[in-house]
Amino acid sequence: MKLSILLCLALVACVLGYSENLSLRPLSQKYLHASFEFEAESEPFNTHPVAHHDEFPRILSQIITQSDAREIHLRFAQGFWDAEEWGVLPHNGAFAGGTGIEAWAWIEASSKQEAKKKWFGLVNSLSGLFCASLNFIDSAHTVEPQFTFKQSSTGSNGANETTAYLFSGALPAEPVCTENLTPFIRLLPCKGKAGISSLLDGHKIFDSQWQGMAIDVHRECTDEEACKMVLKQTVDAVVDVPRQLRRNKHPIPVPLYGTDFRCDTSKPYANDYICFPLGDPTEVSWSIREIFGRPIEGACRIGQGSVNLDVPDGWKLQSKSGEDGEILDTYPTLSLANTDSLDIILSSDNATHVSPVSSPPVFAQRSFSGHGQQRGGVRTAFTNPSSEPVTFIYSETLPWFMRFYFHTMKLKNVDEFGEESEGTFEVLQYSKSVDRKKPTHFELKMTIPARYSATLGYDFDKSMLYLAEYPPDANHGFSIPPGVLTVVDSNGTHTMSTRTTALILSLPTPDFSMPYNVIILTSTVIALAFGSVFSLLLKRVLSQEQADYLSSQTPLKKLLAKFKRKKVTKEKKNQ
Amino acid sequence: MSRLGLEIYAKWRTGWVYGTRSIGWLPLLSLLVSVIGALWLAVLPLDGQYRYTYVSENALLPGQAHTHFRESEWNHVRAYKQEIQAIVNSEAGGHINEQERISHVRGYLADIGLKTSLHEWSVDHFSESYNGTNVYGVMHAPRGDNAEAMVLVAPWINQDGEHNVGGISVLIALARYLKRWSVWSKNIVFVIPSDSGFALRSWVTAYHTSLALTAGAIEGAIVLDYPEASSEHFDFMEVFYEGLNGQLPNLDLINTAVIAASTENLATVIQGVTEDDESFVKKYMPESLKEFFGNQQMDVLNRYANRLKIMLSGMTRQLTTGISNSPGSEAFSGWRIDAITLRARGTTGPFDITTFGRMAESTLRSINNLLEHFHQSFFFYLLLSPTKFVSIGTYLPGAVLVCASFPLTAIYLYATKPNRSTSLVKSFFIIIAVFGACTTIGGVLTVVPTSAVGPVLTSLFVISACLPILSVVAPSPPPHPASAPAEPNVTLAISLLLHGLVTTALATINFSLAMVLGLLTVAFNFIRPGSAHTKSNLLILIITCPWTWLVAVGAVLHTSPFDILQMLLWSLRGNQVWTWQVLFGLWLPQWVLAVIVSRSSTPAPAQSTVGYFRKQ
Repeated sequence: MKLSILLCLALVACVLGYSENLSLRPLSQKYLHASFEFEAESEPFNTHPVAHHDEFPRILSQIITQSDAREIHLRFAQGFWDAEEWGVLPHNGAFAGGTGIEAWAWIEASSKQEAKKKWFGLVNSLSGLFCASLNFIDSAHTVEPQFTFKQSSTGSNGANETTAYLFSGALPAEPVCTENLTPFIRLLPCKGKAGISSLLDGHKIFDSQWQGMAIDVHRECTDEEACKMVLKQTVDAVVDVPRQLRRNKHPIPVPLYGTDFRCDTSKPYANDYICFPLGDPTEVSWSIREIFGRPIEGACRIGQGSVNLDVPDGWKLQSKSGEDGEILDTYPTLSLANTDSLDIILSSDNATHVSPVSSPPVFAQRSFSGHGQQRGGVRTAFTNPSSEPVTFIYSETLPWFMRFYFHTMKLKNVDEFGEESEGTFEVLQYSKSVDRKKPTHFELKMTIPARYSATLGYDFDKSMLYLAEYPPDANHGFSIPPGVLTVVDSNGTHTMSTRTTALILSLPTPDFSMPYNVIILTSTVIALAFGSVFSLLLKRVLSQEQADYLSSQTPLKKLLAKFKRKKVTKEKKNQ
Repeated sequence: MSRLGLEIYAKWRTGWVYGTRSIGWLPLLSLLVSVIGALWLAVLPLDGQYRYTYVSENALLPGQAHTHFRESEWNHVRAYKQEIQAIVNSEAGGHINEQERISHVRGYLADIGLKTSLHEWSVDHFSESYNGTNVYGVMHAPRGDNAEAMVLVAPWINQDGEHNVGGISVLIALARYLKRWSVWSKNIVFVIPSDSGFALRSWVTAYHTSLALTAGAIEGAIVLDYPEASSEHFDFMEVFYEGLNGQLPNLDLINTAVIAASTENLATVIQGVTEDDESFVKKYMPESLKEFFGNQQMDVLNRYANRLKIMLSGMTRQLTTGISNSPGSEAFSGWRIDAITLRARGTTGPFDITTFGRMAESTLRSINNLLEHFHQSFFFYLLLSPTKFVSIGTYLPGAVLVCASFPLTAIYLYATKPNRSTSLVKSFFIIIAVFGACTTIGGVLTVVPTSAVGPVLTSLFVISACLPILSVVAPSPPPHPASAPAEPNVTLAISLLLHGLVTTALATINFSLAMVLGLLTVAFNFIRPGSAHTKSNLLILIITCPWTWLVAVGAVLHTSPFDILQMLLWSLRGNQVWTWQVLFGLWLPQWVLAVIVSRSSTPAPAQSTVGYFRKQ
């Protein structure tokens, strides 16, 4: 009976669409790239949206129905991806975002206004769902890129042929933290209790060098007029393995004991007191329990789970099933089958020997140039390390308070011998900013010849904001969203995408106590002026005699006068 | 009584105008104001006039983080010290060249896992060139947003021309140690420039203009200076904070370093003087007076004298940083980066080289806490000790009073001009011509080859020296009735008004420069046109002459005035210090105007001023 239920469950799992996969890939310089992928499909539906919710989260389905979104893409990322060492971003950058939060969606609507209204509704709902400030994506943060993103929705049964409008927004200053991870895990069918999602512990995942989360929903239609929503969730992290292992021993990096030292004894001066440090040991052995704080808590029995270990020859792969199971050699691809916890142990004599990484076709680095509170410039350096020219679309969104001068935009090519020349770029789209309403947005297409580097530079003015427009901690500066770089091949297919870093723009910031000083000072001046004018207006101007007479007519004065008179008469009488 | 005085006396007696009495007092008031201004400085270090420093930005939490750069980390520092010392020795012995040295140093940073890069720099002027290569490495903060950075610097050659062996070894050991932490919210850039002057300045400029490897906006910088190679112990920590053109780092940064030091009982010293040193008061005061004051009073006096000394030498450093000395932190001036230089002093003290490293660690941890850029606390201050300061509101009146003496004299000169109907145009013309000529000469000198600067300057010296003598020897040109010359009184009045205006404005930017310039030129107030004042004018012209002071400073520093001018020129080229422009665009033209005015005679009055005023 029990077996049959299990079988039944397994069958259901196969039929219904849910799969999860963890791939671990050691990188050079002692890092480990962990990539969690979860994919869920909704039940096929025809005209009406999904009615039953098994794996596909109901809450997302409701949001999609409300906003008429065909596709939703959400990116959370933090950290620096070292492209020189680690190569292209995971999945060729398809699930990688820039620093902070990024969101874009295709919204079906009859008009753009209507679509935009739904977009704002959508980001507000997502904001509540993911505990992120996505509700700050207003019209001043929303752009409509036309070339940078491509729809993933497929099929042409009519459902995907209505007009859909693409909106995109980014919040680079948004810190990504556990409060975003928790709702992310809640969307999963096993909710972090089983399967590979049990490894998603905020303390460990967020103590990484680089980390990104992505949520992608798109619609897949078949010719049989049936559509289904596909949800892809990914978490990528680059973990500093020695640091993670050390933190298990010492939470803070206290000085090591002499026995733990790794000294270069070949140095002539080497003794007990002088130690030239050697790098981290090349002999490594670690388990996922040490890296993620716990083993995989058994398979998530809804759907299929697998673990992929991307290591070259020379690495020893072992696994341990259960709390006190045997340590057994294992294959690079494991499929999660039972409810026993699973620990995987990787060891190697030479940890520097890792799977080769594919070098990205272009590197991009962006920074501010210039100084002062009045104007500035942005400099983006693109380097093509390969022996083939690379064509890409580069798009940037600049907030309205960065008054961008299009005519100052120049591309300077530098060949491998340092010879400079003027470069050319094609402006695919340029939308001008409107104060407080719309950001500047441009999409450029350019080709960098083989082994060339190119610098894109432009100037801007910094504007003054209204007092109320400064955010809290205004002296931190304003974050400028990362530039999006999408490499296209000759067919126009997007082959890779990457982001530049976010920038911090410091605007002229007032001394915020000053308005209060001004208010106090002006209030005093106004009170003085008002007081004197008020008294002038109310007082009558009289001659001295009139004033004396009037003052003598007050009851008190009269009384006094009476007394005086009496006194005088008495005195007279006495006389 | 001088002729002018007689005139005023006469006008006063004839019942000129009500205000005559006060106008007559103006020169005296002007003198009084400038004397008060000068004495103002002496008042500032008095007990009750200064304030104690405090940390204004709560986020900094100075000295709160527990520092762990100690114990076995010392073993690594020792090893790096051996390495650096070996490189220094073999470079001195000619075994390795600069490129090899740089690749060694870069290798240490790269081994730690930093992204490293080189920066080749040069400051050229025709055939002369200062150049070198800087090494730097970026430590990306784990999961940081990669938009902000802190900078830790150890120049290869420090401000005194010594090899900064200790500083560099601490820097590399710190890089290795700090990489192990995951608390960083900002990237850390480790820089080893080839020297603390132009090299670091060029790097900072390049970071904001052309470098390929950058790490975001720099929020703060610390320069490490530990040249003592023989010992691993030190007595106290000296802090340098002056920037270029009178700029100062945020006081909170200094406070942070001072508090970090005090948590380890490490004494901090500024300007090489502590409050309890034996001051000149204690040294030179006769015993009888000392007995009269008693021990307690003597201590108060001694402390006052030391605070005054710290303040004045702070002002001197503010004036000369970037010109004659470059501790390193000044290189960040002008880019909205707050920077200080920490220097270990002494060889015998209880503190070791890791204590010095912990100072950097603790200060970096504090800067790392900052969410906002340094903006609270003070940017304009005079430090009297590491924990006592005077803020701008208290010290600025000193310079403003000195500078206010010029407009006061100007009002006096203008009100007492003998000729009512003179046109201002001619005076303006003379002033513009003189300013234009001097500024042009100053500008031309910055672009001509150094070999040409000498002759031009020599001829300028000679002409300048001749000008006052000429004004004495040559007879004053007789007043020409046909073409009424510009009235010297008016010219002087306008030039003094201008001088007062510019120096007051300068005082808010570069207090020390304005104060010194104001005091050196305060005698302009007592120049009176006409042959009756020849001797006093000559004396004034000599003591206000820029060349006189260049020679005097040169004599004190045992250099020639030409060398000082060369230093000014190079500081302009390499450090963007604009003291040269102040010299040629303000002081020299004012002085030339004074010369012109002092030798011209007052034209005869065209009509009675008395009558004119009566009509009013």
